[in-house]
Amino acid sequence: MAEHYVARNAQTAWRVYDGEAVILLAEDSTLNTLNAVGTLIWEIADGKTPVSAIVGGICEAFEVERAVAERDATAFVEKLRQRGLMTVSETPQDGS
Amino acid sequence: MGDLGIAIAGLCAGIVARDPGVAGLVRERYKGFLSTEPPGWRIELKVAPTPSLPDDVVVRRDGPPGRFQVMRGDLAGTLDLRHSRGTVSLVHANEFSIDTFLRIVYSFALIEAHGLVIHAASLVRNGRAFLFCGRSGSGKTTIARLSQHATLLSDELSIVRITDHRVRCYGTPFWGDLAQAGEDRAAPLVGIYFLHHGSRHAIEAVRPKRALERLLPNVLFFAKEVDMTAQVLSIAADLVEAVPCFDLTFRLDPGFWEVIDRG
Repeated sequence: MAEHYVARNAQTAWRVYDGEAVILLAEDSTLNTLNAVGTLIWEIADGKTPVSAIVGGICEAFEVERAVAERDATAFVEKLRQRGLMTVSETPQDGS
Repeated sequence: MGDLGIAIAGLCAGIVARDPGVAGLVRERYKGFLSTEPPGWRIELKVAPTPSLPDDVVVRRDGPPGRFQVMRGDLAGTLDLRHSRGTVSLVHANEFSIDTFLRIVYSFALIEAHGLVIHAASLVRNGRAFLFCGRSGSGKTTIARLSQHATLLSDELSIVRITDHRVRCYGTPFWGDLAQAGEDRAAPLVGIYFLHHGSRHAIEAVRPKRALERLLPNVLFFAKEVDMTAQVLSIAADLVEAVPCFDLTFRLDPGFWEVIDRG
Protein backbone atom coordinates (compact mmCIF):
# COMPACT_ATOMS: atom_id res chain seq x y z
CA MET A 1 0.00 0.00 0.00
CA ALA A 2 1.29 3.47 -0.88
CA GLU A 3 2.52 5.63 1.95
CA HIS A 4 0.59 8.82 2.74
CA TYR A 5 1.48 12.03 4.50
CA VAL A 6 -1.01 14.22 6.32
CA ALA A 7 -0.59 17.87 7.16
CA ARG A 8 -2.53 20.27 9.35
CA ASN A 9 -4.17 23.13 7.49
CA ALA A 10 -1.89 26.09 8.22
CA GLN A 11 -4.96 28.33 8.36
CA THR A 12 -5.89 26.99 11.77
CA ALA A 13 -5.22 28.07 15.32
CA TRP A 14 -5.29 25.44 18.03
CA ARG A 15 -4.60 24.67 21.64
CA VAL A 16 -4.40 21.41 23.59
CA TYR A 17 -6.00 20.87 26.99
CA ASP A 18 -5.41 17.65 28.88
CA GLY A 19 -4.40 15.92 25.66
CA GLU A 20 -7.42 17.13 23.67
CA ALA A 21 -7.19 19.79 20.98
CA VAL A 22 -9.50 22.73 20.31
CA ILE A 23 -9.08 23.91 16.72
CA LEU A 24 -10.35 27.11 15.11
CA LEU A 25 -10.41 27.31 11.32
CA ALA A 26 -9.64 30.86 10.25
CA GLU A 27 -11.69 31.08 7.08
CA ASP A 28 -15.04 30.47 8.71
CA SER A 29 -14.27 30.42 12.46
CA THR A 30 -15.62 26.88 12.77
CA LEU A 31 -14.63 25.17 15.96
CA ASN A 32 -13.51 21.55 16.15
CA THR A 33 -12.53 19.55 19.18
CA LEU A 34 -10.59 16.31 19.07
CA ASN A 35 -10.33 13.37 21.41
CA ALA A 36 -6.99 12.10 22.64
CA VAL A 37 -6.29 9.84 19.65
CA GLY A 38 -7.29 12.55 17.19
CA THR A 39 -5.11 15.05 19.00
CA LEU A 40 -2.11 12.75 18.76
CA ILE A 41 -2.64 12.45 15.00
CA TRP A 42 -3.17 16.22 14.72
CA GLU A 43 0.03 17.04 16.58
CA ILE A 44 2.13 14.68 14.47
CA ALA A 45 0.53 15.70 11.16
CA ASP A 46 3.39 17.85 9.91
CA GLY A 47 3.22 16.72 6.29
CA LYS A 48 6.52 14.90 6.61
CA THR A 49 5.72 12.05 8.98
CA PRO A 50 4.20 9.08 7.13
CA VAL A 51 0.82 7.81 8.25
CA SER A 52 2.42 4.47 9.05
CA ALA A 53 4.56 6.21 11.67
CA ILE A 54 1.52 7.99 13.08
CA VAL A 55 -0.26 4.64 13.35
CA GLY A 56 2.77 3.30 15.17
CA GLY A 57 2.52 6.20 17.59
CA ILE A 58 -1.13 5.44 18.26
CA CYS A 59 -0.39 1.75 18.92
CA GLU A 60 2.33 2.72 21.36
CA ALA A 61 0.41 5.44 23.17
CA PHE A 62 -2.97 3.72 23.42
CA GLU A 63 -1.99 0.03 23.34
CA VAL A 64 -4.28 -0.92 20.46
CA GLU A 65 -3.73 -3.39 17.65
CA ARG A 66 -2.21 -2.01 14.50
CA ALA A 67 -5.20 -2.94 12.32
CA VAL A 68 -7.54 -1.06 14.66
CA ALA A 69 -5.24 1.95 14.80
CA GLU A 70 -4.95 2.00 11.00
CA ARG A 71 -8.69 1.85 10.54
CA ASP A 72 -9.34 4.59 13.11
CA ALA A 73 -6.56 6.84 11.81
CA THR A 74 -7.76 6.50 8.22
CA ALA A 75 -11.33 7.38 9.18
CA PHE A 76 -10.17 10.31 11.31
CA VAL A 77 -7.92 11.76 8.63
CA GLU A 78 -10.68 11.51 6.04
CA LYS A 79 -13.10 13.28 8.37
CA LEU A 80 -10.68 16.14 8.97
CA ARG A 81 -9.81 16.32 5.28
CA GLN A 82 -13.50 16.76 4.47
CA ARG A 83 -13.72 19.53 7.05
CA GLY A 84 -10.79 21.31 5.44
CA LEU A 85 -8.56 20.83 8.45
CA MET A 86 -6.04 18.42 6.91
CA THR A 87 -4.50 17.65 3.56
CA VAL A 88 -3.34 14.23 2.43
CA SER A 89 -0.60 13.63 -0.11
CA GLU A 90 1.49 10.78 -1.41
CA THR A 91 4.73 12.70 -1.02
CA PRO A 92 6.17 14.42 2.02
CA GLN A 93 6.01 18.19 2.16
CA ASP A 94 9.17 20.12 1.40
CA GLY A 95 10.59 22.91 3.48
CA SER A 96 11.74 23.52 6.97
CA MET B 1 -18.15 70.34 13.46
CA GLY B 2 -15.37 69.28 15.83
CA ASP B 3 -14.36 65.73 16.64
CA LEU B 4 -16.15 63.81 19.35
CA GLY B 5 -14.19 61.47 21.53
CA ILE B 6 -15.60 58.27 22.93
CA ALA B 7 -13.72 55.81 25.11
CA ILE B 8 -14.87 52.24 25.61
CA ALA B 9 -12.78 49.81 27.65
CA GLY B 10 -10.01 52.38 27.77
CA LEU B 11 -9.80 52.55 24.00
CA CYS B 12 -10.47 56.06 22.77
CA ALA B 13 -11.82 56.83 19.31
CA GLY B 14 -12.15 60.24 17.74
CA ILE B 15 -15.41 60.42 15.81
CA VAL B 16 -15.45 62.79 12.85
CA ALA B 17 -19.00 63.55 11.74
CA ARG B 18 -19.53 66.56 9.48
CA ASP B 19 -23.26 65.90 9.33
CA PRO B 20 -24.77 67.63 12.38
CA GLY B 21 -27.49 64.99 12.56
CA VAL B 22 -24.93 62.20 12.78
CA ALA B 23 -22.83 64.12 15.31
CA GLY B 24 -25.92 64.65 17.43
CA LEU B 25 -26.77 60.97 17.30
CA VAL B 26 -23.27 60.02 18.42
CA ARG B 27 -23.28 62.57 21.23
CA GLU B 28 -26.61 61.32 22.54
CA ARG B 29 -26.12 57.59 21.97
CA TYR B 30 -22.68 57.46 23.60
CA LYS B 31 -23.16 60.20 26.18
CA GLY B 32 -21.98 57.96 28.99
CA PHE B 33 -18.74 57.23 27.15
CA LEU B 34 -17.68 60.64 25.83
CA SER B 35 -14.01 61.35 26.37
CA THR B 36 -11.48 64.12 25.95
CA GLU B 37 -8.52 61.73 25.95
CA PRO B 38 -6.28 61.70 22.87
CA PRO B 39 -7.90 59.22 20.49
CA GLY B 40 -6.10 56.08 19.40
CA TRP B 41 -8.56 55.55 16.57
CA ARG B 42 -10.10 57.97 14.08
CA ILE B 43 -13.52 57.09 12.73
CA GLU B 44 -15.23 59.14 10.07
CA LEU B 45 -18.98 58.89 9.75
CA LYS B 46 -20.91 60.36 6.86
CA VAL B 47 -24.27 59.98 5.20
CA ALA B 48 -23.87 59.15 1.55
CA PRO B 49 -25.54 57.10 -1.15
CA THR B 50 -24.07 53.62 -1.35
CA PRO B 51 -24.24 50.89 -3.97
CA SER B 52 -26.46 47.87 -3.39
CA LEU B 53 -25.39 46.19 -0.19
CA PRO B 54 -25.82 42.75 1.40
CA ASP B 55 -28.49 42.34 4.07
CA ASP B 56 -26.16 40.69 6.57
CA VAL B 57 -22.86 42.01 7.87
CA VAL B 58 -20.00 41.21 5.51
CA VAL B 59 -16.41 41.87 6.57
CA ARG B 60 -13.66 41.00 4.12
CA ARG B 61 -10.04 41.79 3.42
CA ASP B 62 -9.54 44.82 1.25
CA GLY B 63 -6.08 44.88 -0.25
CA PRO B 64 -3.09 44.97 2.09
CA PRO B 65 -3.03 43.22 5.47
CA GLY B 66 -5.02 45.01 8.13
CA ARG B 67 -7.49 46.60 5.71
CA PHE B 68 -11.08 45.43 5.69
CA GLN B 69 -14.33 46.30 3.96
CA VAL B 70 -17.41 46.34 6.16
CA MET B 71 -20.84 46.19 4.56
CA ARG B 72 -24.42 45.76 5.52
CA GLY B 73 -27.68 46.92 4.00
CA ASP B 74 -27.44 50.25 5.80
CA LEU B 75 -23.70 50.96 5.71
CA ALA B 76 -20.49 50.57 3.74
CA GLY B 77 -17.14 51.22 5.37
CA THR B 78 -13.48 50.42 5.59
CA LEU B 79 -11.18 49.64 8.47
CA ASP B 80 -7.44 50.16 8.49
CA LEU B 81 -5.95 48.45 11.50
CA ARG B 82 -2.41 49.58 10.79
CA HIS B 83 -3.37 53.23 10.93
CA SER B 84 -6.24 52.82 13.40
CA ARG B 85 -8.73 54.42 11.06
CA GLY B 86 -12.24 53.67 9.97
CA THR B 87 -14.62 55.36 7.57
CA VAL B 88 -18.22 54.53 6.98
CA SER B 89 -20.96 55.78 4.71
CA LEU B 90 -24.39 55.45 6.23
CA VAL B 91 -27.46 55.14 4.06
CA HIS B 92 -29.33 57.18 6.69
CA ALA B 93 -28.30 58.98 9.86
CA ASN B 94 -29.27 56.13 12.10
CA GLU B 95 -27.93 55.17 15.53
CA PHE B 96 -28.25 51.45 14.85
CA SER B 97 -26.02 51.74 11.79
CA ILE B 98 -23.45 53.73 13.75
CA ASP B 99 -23.59 51.24 16.60
CA THR B 100 -23.08 48.28 14.27
CA PHE B 101 -19.98 49.85 12.78
CA LEU B 102 -18.55 50.75 16.17
CA ARG B 103 -19.12 47.23 17.49
CA ILE B 104 -17.11 45.88 14.56
CA VAL B 105 -14.37 48.51 15.02
CA TYR B 106 -13.98 47.63 18.68
CA SER B 107 -13.99 43.89 17.99
CA PHE B 108 -10.93 44.44 15.80
CA ALA B 109 -9.23 47.15 17.82
CA LEU B 110 -9.40 45.27 21.11
CA ILE B 111 -7.50 42.27 19.83
CA GLU B 112 -4.29 44.28 19.85
CA ALA B 113 -5.13 45.35 23.39
CA HIS B 114 -5.55 41.72 24.41
CA GLY B 115 -9.29 42.10 24.70
CA LEU B 116 -12.45 40.58 23.31
CA VAL B 117 -16.00 41.69 22.64
CA ILE B 118 -18.23 38.89 23.84
CA HIS B 119 -21.94 38.19 23.49
CA ALA B 120 -22.54 38.37 27.21
CA ALA B 121 -24.25 40.34 29.90
CA SER B 122 -21.95 41.64 32.59
CA LEU B 123 -22.67 43.02 36.01
CA VAL B 124 -20.67 44.36 38.93
CA ARG B 125 -21.53 43.31 42.43
CA ASN B 126 -19.49 44.24 45.50
CA GLY B 127 -16.72 45.52 43.26
CA ARG B 128 -16.44 42.26 41.29
CA ALA B 129 -17.56 41.62 37.73
CA PHE B 130 -19.57 38.61 36.56
CA LEU B 131 -19.94 37.65 32.91
CA PHE B 132 -23.07 35.82 31.68
CA CYS B 133 -22.43 34.41 28.27
CA GLY B 134 -24.81 33.15 25.63
CA ARG B 135 -26.37 33.58 22.23
CA SER B 136 -29.55 35.47 21.52
CA GLY B 137 -32.37 34.07 23.63
CA SER B 138 -30.08 32.56 26.25
CA GLY B 139 -31.21 35.03 28.91
CA LYS B 140 -28.59 37.78 28.97
CA THR B 141 -31.10 40.60 29.23
CA THR B 142 -33.19 38.57 31.67
CA ILE B 143 -30.18 38.15 33.95
CA ALA B 144 -29.60 41.91 33.80
CA ARG B 145 -33.24 42.66 34.60
CA LEU B 146 -33.16 40.27 37.56
CA SER B 147 -30.09 42.01 39.00
CA GLN B 148 -31.41 45.37 40.15
CA HIS B 149 -28.89 45.48 42.99
CA ALA B 150 -25.92 45.13 40.62
CA THR B 151 -24.25 47.67 38.35
CA LEU B 152 -24.91 47.01 34.69
CA LEU B 153 -21.90 46.83 32.38
CA SER B 154 -23.92 45.46 29.46
CA ASP B 155 -26.92 43.25 28.75
CA GLU B 156 -25.64 42.26 25.29
CA LEU B 157 -21.99 42.84 24.38
CA SER B 158 -19.37 42.88 27.08
CA ILE B 159 -15.69 43.66 26.85
CA VAL B 160 -12.97 41.78 28.67
CA ARG B 161 -9.30 42.69 28.65
CA ILE B 162 -6.31 40.89 30.07
CA THR B 163 -3.39 43.01 31.17
CA ASP B 164 -0.50 41.87 33.35
CA HIS B 165 -2.35 38.61 34.04
CA ARG B 166 -5.30 40.55 35.42
CA VAL B 167 -8.70 40.15 33.80
CA ARG B 168 -11.06 43.10 33.88
CA CYS B 169 -14.55 43.48 32.50
CA TYR B 170 -15.62 46.86 31.10
CA GLY B 171 -18.91 48.62 30.69
CA THR B 172 -20.08 49.20 27.14
CA PRO B 173 -22.74 51.27 25.40
CA PHE B 174 -23.65 48.22 23.30
CA TRP B 175 -27.05 47.20 24.55
CA GLY B 176 -29.57 44.48 23.80
CA ASP B 177 -33.26 44.28 24.59
CA LEU B 178 -32.73 46.33 27.73
CA ALA B 179 -31.99 49.39 25.55
CA GLN B 180 -29.82 50.78 28.31
CA ALA B 181 -26.12 51.50 28.17
CA GLY B 182 -23.81 50.01 30.77
CA GLU B 183 -21.87 52.11 33.23
CA ASP B 184 -18.51 53.37 32.05
CA ARG B 185 -16.49 51.49 34.63
CA ALA B 186 -14.42 48.34 35.00
CA ALA B 187 -14.01 45.67 37.64
CA PRO B 188 -11.99 42.48 38.11
CA LEU B 189 -13.74 39.56 36.43
CA VAL B 190 -14.31 36.77 38.94
CA GLY B 191 -16.57 34.37 37.06
CA ILE B 192 -17.80 33.40 33.61
CA TYR B 193 -21.25 31.79 33.51
CA PHE B 194 -22.65 30.03 30.44
CA LEU B 195 -26.41 30.48 30.50
CA HIS B 196 -29.03 27.74 30.38
CA HIS B 197 -32.73 28.14 31.11
CA GLY B 198 -34.09 25.68 33.64
CA SER B 199 -36.57 25.09 36.42
CA ARG B 200 -34.08 25.64 39.24
CA HIS B 201 -30.87 27.51 39.92
CA ALA B 202 -27.67 25.49 39.68
CA ILE B 203 -24.06 25.99 38.74
CA GLU B 204 -21.49 23.46 37.65
CA ALA B 205 -17.80 24.14 37.17
CA VAL B 206 -16.59 23.86 33.58
CA ARG B 207 -13.01 22.90 32.74
CA PRO B 208 -11.00 25.17 30.44
CA LYS B 209 -11.38 23.06 27.29
CA ARG B 210 -15.16 22.92 27.59
CA ALA B 211 -15.23 26.58 28.59
CA LEU B 212 -13.27 27.50 25.49
CA GLU B 213 -15.74 25.54 23.35
CA ARG B 214 -18.58 27.43 25.02
CA LEU B 215 -16.91 30.84 24.84
CA LEU B 216 -15.55 30.99 21.30
CA PRO B 217 -18.90 30.93 19.47
CA ASN B 218 -19.86 33.96 21.55
CA VAL B 219 -16.84 36.07 20.67
CA LEU B 220 -17.58 38.86 18.22
CA PHE B 221 -14.93 38.27 15.60
CA PHE B 222 -14.93 38.88 11.86
CA ALA B 223 -11.41 38.42 10.50
CA LYS B 224 -10.55 35.33 8.48
CA GLU B 225 -6.78 35.74 8.76
CA VAL B 226 -4.96 33.01 10.62
CA ASP B 227 -2.80 35.40 12.62
CA MET B 228 -5.81 37.26 14.00
CA THR B 229 -7.66 33.98 14.55
CA ALA B 230 -4.68 32.75 16.56
CA GLN B 231 -4.70 35.95 18.61
CA VAL B 232 -8.40 35.57 19.40
CA LEU B 233 -7.93 31.94 20.37
CA SER B 234 -5.00 32.89 22.57
CA ILE B 235 -6.92 35.64 24.38
CA ALA B 236 -9.96 33.38 24.83
CA ALA B 237 -7.77 30.58 26.15
CA ASP B 238 -6.01 32.93 28.56
CA LEU B 239 -9.41 34.09 29.73
CA VAL B 240 -10.86 30.65 30.53
CA GLU B 241 -7.62 29.64 32.22
CA ALA B 242 -7.53 32.75 34.39
CA VAL B 243 -11.18 33.01 35.40
CA PRO B 244 -13.36 30.25 36.92
CA CYS B 245 -16.03 29.14 34.43
CA PHE B 246 -19.41 27.60 35.14
CA ASP B 247 -22.59 26.42 33.49
CA LEU B 248 -25.40 28.38 35.11
CA THR B 249 -28.92 27.00 34.94
CA PHE B 250 -31.44 29.56 36.12
CA ARG B 251 -35.13 30.22 36.38
CA LEU B 252 -36.80 33.60 36.26
CA ASP B 253 -36.00 35.00 39.68
CA PRO B 254 -32.91 36.58 41.24
CA GLY B 255 -32.12 33.47 43.30
CA PHE B 256 -29.30 32.54 40.92
CA TRP B 257 -27.13 35.05 42.78
CA GLU B 258 -27.34 32.94 45.93
CA VAL B 259 -26.12 29.94 43.96
CA ILE B 260 -23.30 32.01 42.51
CA ASP B 261 -22.34 33.33 45.94
CA ARG B 262 -22.26 29.79 47.34
CA GLY B 263 -20.29 28.49 44.36
